[in-house]
Amino acid sequence: MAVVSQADRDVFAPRSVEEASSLLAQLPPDQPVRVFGLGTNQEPRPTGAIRLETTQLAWVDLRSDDLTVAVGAGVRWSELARLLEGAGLRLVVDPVADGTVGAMVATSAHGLAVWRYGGIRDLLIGATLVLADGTIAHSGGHVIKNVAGYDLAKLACGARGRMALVAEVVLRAHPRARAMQGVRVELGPAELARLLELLLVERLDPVGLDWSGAERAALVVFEGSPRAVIAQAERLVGALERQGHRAHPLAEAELAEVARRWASFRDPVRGVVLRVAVRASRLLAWLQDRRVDPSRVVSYVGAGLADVVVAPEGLDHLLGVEAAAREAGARLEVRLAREVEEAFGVGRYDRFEHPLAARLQRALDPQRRFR
Amino acid sequence: MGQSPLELFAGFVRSIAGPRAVIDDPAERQAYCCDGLTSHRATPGLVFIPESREQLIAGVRELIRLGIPFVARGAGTGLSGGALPEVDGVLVVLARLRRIVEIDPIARIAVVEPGVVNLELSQATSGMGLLFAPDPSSQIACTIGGNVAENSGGAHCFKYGFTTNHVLGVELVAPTGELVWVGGDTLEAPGPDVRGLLIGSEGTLGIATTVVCRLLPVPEAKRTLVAYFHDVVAAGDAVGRLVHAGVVPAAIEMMDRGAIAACELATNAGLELDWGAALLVELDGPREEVDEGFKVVRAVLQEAQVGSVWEATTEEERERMWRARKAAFAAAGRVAPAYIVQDGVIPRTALPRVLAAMEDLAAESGLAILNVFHAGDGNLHPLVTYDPTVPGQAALAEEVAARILSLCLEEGGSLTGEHGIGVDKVCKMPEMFTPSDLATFGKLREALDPTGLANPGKLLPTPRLCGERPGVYAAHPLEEAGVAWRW
Repeated sequence: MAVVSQADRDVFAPRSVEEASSLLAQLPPDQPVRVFGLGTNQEPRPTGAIRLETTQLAWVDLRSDDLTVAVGAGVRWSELARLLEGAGLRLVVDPVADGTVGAMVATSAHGLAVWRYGGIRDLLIGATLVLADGTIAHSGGHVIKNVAGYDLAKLACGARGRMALVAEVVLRAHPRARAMQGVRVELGPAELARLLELLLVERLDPVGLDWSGAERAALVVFEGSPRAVIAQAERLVGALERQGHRAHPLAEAELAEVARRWASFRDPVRGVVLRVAVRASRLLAWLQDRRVDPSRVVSYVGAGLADVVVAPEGLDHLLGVEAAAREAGARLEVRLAREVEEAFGVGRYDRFEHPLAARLQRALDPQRRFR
Repeated sequence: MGQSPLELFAGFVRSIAGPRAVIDDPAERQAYCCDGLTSHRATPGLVFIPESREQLIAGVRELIRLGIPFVARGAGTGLSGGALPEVDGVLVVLARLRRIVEIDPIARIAVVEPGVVNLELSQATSGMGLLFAPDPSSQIACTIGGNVAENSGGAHCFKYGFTTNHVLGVELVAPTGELVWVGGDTLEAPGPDVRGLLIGSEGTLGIATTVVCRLLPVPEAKRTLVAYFHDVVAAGDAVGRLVHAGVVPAAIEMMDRGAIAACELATNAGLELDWGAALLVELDGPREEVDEGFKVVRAVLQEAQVGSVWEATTEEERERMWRARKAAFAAAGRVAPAYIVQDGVIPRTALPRVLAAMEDLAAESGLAILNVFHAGDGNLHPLVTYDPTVPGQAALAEEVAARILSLCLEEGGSLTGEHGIGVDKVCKMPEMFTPSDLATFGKLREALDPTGLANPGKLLPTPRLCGERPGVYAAHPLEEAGVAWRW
């Protein structure tokens, strides 16, 4: 049986997939449910919803020789990362903030290395979902390569808990990078295209490229063997300097410091983070639009992703940003909203407005229990 | 008497696309009776070959209006019968939709029509220093649309991933006739990942009309070697050591003794024949990284008691190594009159147990099994050889191939790593998935294809389908006509 919290009789924390299934199967069909990890789910909580906490779904089955790990949705991401590190492995997703594994899936987490490795969707090789009626459904497993059946894991990615309860996922692990090296180059939005071209011409292959408007600087990240990453960084610095840019290499610790600072910019204590997703070549033009204040933007440029970060007092700025983004053909998402009015919250853009997403949601959750 | 739905459809297509877009002649239709899985055949009721995206969309919408089942086909290279036609349906052949609509080197994407051949895309982008990473063995013929349907991989997917990691967006005509985009042209997109569900759905959730492909930089350097071992267990141990050393090779391919002999016989590549197993290891990337990594590979192989190493010193040598490896399926025809290509996946650490069990199977059945596989990711491709002129041997080979799949499942593996379920493995699905898993798949399929017209009978088992017994190997009609052959 699911555990009922002593503090709140509407809070349930199942300890296994079966308990979660049994709980959902026993609820009245019209009972709304809010899936809850460490509190990062910011979808508006429906009236009368019970809280289904995932924190007791907390198991880890690491198969280091197979480069796979099965993990309960309630395990904290940073704890999982530490466990893998001890085995000489890592998860190549580097999300900007901590949370449960389930939250990472629900928000389709990704980070600086998105340009090379993609996001968590690209590491998901299996999932156990519990549907609204308690049905347990699996796909994938402890094999890296697998094309049998439909990929249910992907469907839960980015759904913010509204498709099904993600009870367990299987992730692909990678060997730990032997070394990392960064290059910081000072440049504005007008010069980013040249940087992208230069990387291609110089045949360099960084894992990440991030740009901060506030610092008017780009961060290029290499990983691999110690000598090779230094050589690549030197090659890039030389090429940039020949073009008149100020660039300098960053050793691993300095790189980590800059990456941390830019990650925290994306995770403000108060305010809104508006995601603009648009083809990289159009993103570069959008960054130069007069309606966009570059000092509020951080961008995984090559991936076509930019985050506009505004404080609660500056929400009006988003209207111009949004208009310019729409004209560029961007899709928008509020990634995070803290201490702001609901109109600017994560429900501002309906993730299920896509006709197929809406239909798939109805198929798995006809009563719209997961809201 | 009124016209049949197929006749009505043929008339519609001729009116919008001209006579070349329809094949109704029985003999010509016969040429489309199977894909690469020749043991399953069905002559399509009609073949529709659109020449433009607009014709494709209009045609599919008309099929839906008339209630005619349809099956999409790219180049017909699939190995699971995913493009097996319906006798009372229409085969939608996408091979003429071969336009590369746009290449954007800054965004590193290409927008293509579904009939673009996989290799031709990389050839078109190579001048810009970019490539499309999925490289299935059939890449000289297979299409991007087919890659999307099957979530194709290839020899280099241990490092680079599969089609799902390299297709950012798909415009599709859904089985309801709607034209929708899933995904987009960025590496992440807001909302549930419907694109991820669609890729690998084997044409059961719609037909791709446009595909946005992610492009990667052409590696600055590549270094390749073949390492020989006394047996496959020692070679498997070396793979584990390489992974632990933090090296991520672009490819790690393994061949057993039988496969080495067959590949050498077919290609004269220069493989050494007196070893029990060979590993083809390739590193690619920036020059400095490859050179450093190669030193690690050599050191690890020494620790793993490698018997002999052949390192490619020229591009010609590297190509020869790959020619030998890629010829493996066809080369089996040199050592046996017929064979079944199996495709199963196991956790990599289960390799010694599964290989030993396969040896037992070979001894019990008296059939030789050649093994080639993507060793980094545990994707096995055993080739079960047999002689069709010996009574009962074809059926025995089918049985052995099926037993191998069961072995994979017993180890927590999968029925398929890259060939797909199609019709070939549809009846094995209940061995891998629970009834509630299959029911969930069914709900998703029904949500997007409520009338069940898109590629019926594929991917999900039905009582009718799984009551029937599949046939055995038979020559493709083009082979029979002497215009194509296996070697």
